[in-house]
Amino acid sequence: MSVHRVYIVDAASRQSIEAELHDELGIDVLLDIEDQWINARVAMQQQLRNASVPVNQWPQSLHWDWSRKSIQLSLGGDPDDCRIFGIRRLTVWEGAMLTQRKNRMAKLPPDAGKGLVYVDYLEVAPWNWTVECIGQMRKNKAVGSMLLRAVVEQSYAEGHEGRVGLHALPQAEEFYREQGLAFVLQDANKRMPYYELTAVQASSLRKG
Amino acid sequence: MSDKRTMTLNLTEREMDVLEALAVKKDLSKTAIIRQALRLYQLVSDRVDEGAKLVLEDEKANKKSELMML
Repeated sequence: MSVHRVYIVDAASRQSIEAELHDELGIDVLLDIEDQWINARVAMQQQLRNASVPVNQWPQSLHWDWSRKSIQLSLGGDPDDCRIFGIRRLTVWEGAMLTQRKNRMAKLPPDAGKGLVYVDYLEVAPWNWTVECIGQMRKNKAVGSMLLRAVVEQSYAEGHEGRVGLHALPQAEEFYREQGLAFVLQDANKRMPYYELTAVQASSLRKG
Repeated sequence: MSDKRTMTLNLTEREMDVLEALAVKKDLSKTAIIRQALRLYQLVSDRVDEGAKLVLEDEKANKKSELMML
């Protein structure tokens, strides 16, 4: 496991704050991450109900549970395929990401048929979401983009020239487009849009 | 934020053997195995309370078996 210094942004003061990017976490850490996030998820659910916000307008990862992913990985995951990243500030996990590296091929020309790293899950802590319907402004910015940069680096290290693929929650599509990912197709099996970052786009993201 | 609390766990030799074997097999600490088992137990218990059944499926053998919750 290695730890790198990264900077995220305090949304209120716009000050950069130092954090740690952990790029090879054990699956037991997912239990700690969900322990830290579960109370915020439950509180937000209650606020959304109290504000009579329709469920289809709730944050689309609100029901996620990283402890379940920990169990799934233990019972059936391939440790050589999966890699877990996290961004921590002091003792608090601000974001997490699970990637897969085996047998993933790009679909988008001109990179079609070449290998890529797939982002299975990426989520920032619930307090880092802006949820306008309940008046919540995010606490920290740049956590998601730091995680995305980390998977681009993983892709370079795997020899995939920065190529990355992922299925995006519809609420996250704008974020991924801003980061340079391109819509590839609407995946009928997953019923989610599939996006890719090409080698050219990865190079731009790395320089930017 | 959740602080961790410490407890003493008394296990039989057989139970400890199982725990140690799982920890080696899954490359996890014994604490992590117990924590995962607890989450899984809670998940199953909640779903069964809601009326769900716990079914194990073997796709290759095309077999499904219901795990009885007594």
